[in-house]
Amino acid sequence: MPIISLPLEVLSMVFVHYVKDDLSLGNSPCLLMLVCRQWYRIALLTPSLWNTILITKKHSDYWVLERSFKMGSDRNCAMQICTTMDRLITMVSRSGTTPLNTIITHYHNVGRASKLYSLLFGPEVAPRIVHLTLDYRDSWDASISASWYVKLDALRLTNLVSLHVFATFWMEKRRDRDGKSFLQVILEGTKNLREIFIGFHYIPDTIIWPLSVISEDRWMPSCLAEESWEHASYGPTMRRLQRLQVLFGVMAEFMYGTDVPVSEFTIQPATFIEQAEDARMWDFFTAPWPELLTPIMTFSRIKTLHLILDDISLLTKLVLPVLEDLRLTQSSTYRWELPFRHDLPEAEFPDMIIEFPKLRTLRVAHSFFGPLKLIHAVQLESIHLTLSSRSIHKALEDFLVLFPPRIENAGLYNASAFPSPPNYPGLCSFYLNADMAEGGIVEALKSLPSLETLSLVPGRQLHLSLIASLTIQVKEEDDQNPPSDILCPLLRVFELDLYAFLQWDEESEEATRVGTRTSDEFLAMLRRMVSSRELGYTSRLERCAVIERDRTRREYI
Amino acid sequence: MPVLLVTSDNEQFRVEKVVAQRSVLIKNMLEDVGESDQPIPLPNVTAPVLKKVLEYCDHHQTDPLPTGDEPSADESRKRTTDISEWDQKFITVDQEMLFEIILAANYLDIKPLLDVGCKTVANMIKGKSPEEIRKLFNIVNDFTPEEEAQIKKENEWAEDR
Repeated sequence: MPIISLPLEVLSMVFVHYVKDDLSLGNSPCLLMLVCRQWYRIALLTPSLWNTILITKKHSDYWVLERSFKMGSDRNCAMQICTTMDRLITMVSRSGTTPLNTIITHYHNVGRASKLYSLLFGPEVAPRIVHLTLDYRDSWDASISASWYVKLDALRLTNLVSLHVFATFWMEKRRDRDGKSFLQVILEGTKNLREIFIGFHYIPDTIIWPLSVISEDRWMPSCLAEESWEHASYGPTMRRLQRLQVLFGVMAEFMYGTDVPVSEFTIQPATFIEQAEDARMWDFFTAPWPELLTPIMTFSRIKTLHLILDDISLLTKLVLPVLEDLRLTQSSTYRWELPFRHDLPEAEFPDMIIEFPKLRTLRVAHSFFGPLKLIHAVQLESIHLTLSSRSIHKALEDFLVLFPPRIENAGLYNASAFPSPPNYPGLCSFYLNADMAEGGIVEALKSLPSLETLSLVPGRQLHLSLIASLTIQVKEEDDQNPPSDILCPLLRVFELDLYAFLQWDEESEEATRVGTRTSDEFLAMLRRMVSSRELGYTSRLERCAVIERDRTRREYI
Repeated sequence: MPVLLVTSDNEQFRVEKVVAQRSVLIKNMLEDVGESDQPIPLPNVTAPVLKKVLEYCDHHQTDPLPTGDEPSADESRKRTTDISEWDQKFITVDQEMLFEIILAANYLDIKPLLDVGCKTVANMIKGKSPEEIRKLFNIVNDFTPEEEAQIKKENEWAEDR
């Protein structure tokens, strides 16, 4: 049975699968046309083979990057590269009425570009554009590129679903008419936009982008900040937006405003850093946001937020009245330095408070915990701290700023410097992964009387004092006496991970998994702690689990 | 309740209804006819091909049924030529059988199987020149050299300076 005997519609499906491919640039339908007359006709009669249109020049950054990251060449790729009017007209006609995916990069010939744009954004083609990518990274004067758009009243991209813009701060500055930026002009013509992406392409971790390029392109267009869009003509579009990806980061499932409860905002490289098991992964370039120059913005719908942030006090830039889940990850850039604003900010900014009235979960991977003290979150239930790397002494100092010791220890740590009570009265779940002196952990736990879940990756070494403080001591000769005070009387779950601890070398460049050493009596002590709950006085411990250094997991309850 | 299917070469296959209903054609027929033990004739499918198709339907009997909606613009953009490991093994057959399966899937209206078949053919074409494609499928080049040159010219990326 020859392939020719397959019905035309089946061959047409084969062609569609051949042309579209996520992992590469796809394949050119033109190649299929050269096989025989029948294939030529089928290719011409299958509009969806032709609906990815790229307007570019051969050496545009976009095109060079696409070709190097994905397999593909000028001659064989799914994109229909249009540099002339004739070709664009042909492709628009071949693609029938199918939705168009259009990519426009900076085009050196302004006159020709203008003609091509006029056809694409004219009344017949514009409503077909569903995905639009504008890439002006390599424009020598980006504001000229922007000027074409700002001359228009509005682009009628009524069916646009996703808009990707790679542009510079300067493009947005260009406002020829009515003070509108090119982005506003585009947004005004949309009704169904679900996704906006602004910034760079995902760059594989092998390539470190030149810093200068990155800093120029890090911008949050002001027309996307809530005050600007709320009363703008594109306000309804913004309310329906599901995904906003800005700068280097992804703000997934992100929505502004007050109507829609779903909201999540993630800066993607943060997850890379969190999973870092060696220094190499930390090299992935990450840009913190917000910055000093970021205007104060209100995000009245965000409930989940994941940011890369070095200077925690910059959270004052964001007003987040309904935030419930906050994750902060330090960028790799300043990881080993001590930027001046990071340490003990109270002395410098005595009145600074970062208020998150609805915050329930706080997860932080950072080298400086102290500034977290600025966060006031009366409803906080769970805190998750990973100290990336510092000397055990400095870590302790910093930690005790966050969890000030009780007054009786005032001699040891100057109590007047930390007079306020803990900012998290309702905290019931605490995770700590840090190379921390055991005494520091015990002190911190003293300020967390309502703790129910304690999960520890305790650092290089664990002696016995923590376990001893969690064990009910009863005088054997007189069990009528009430038991001694124990730490965390409401504790229900105690988890200890002796496997996961990463030790960094002195230059803080290389990390090795060393786990936590314990003394010989440790396990015996742990058993005593567990059995002490049976004395029936105060301990409510329900579960005690330990991951041993060899990664075996043991349940003691 | 099992269903009786009869192939073009008059072979009978007794299969569970849930398996047979992976075919939208059979599903609709069963719905139209109602409860009946009448055999269902499949005049366009031979026994070896139906056996193979039923093997697919049996393996995928618990998959969610396709909704019949056109894929959204986003999905169609993200379409990939990935094939699952089981399907990959299943579809590793000679060219003749591959085309027979595709034809049967098209006739019986089993969209996921049709997709697997089409993707497999698409993957066979990938990376090949028109001449290699012709060789692979025994296709005769019926273009004149002039026509061929003309098509090449039409599709060249001419960058104006």
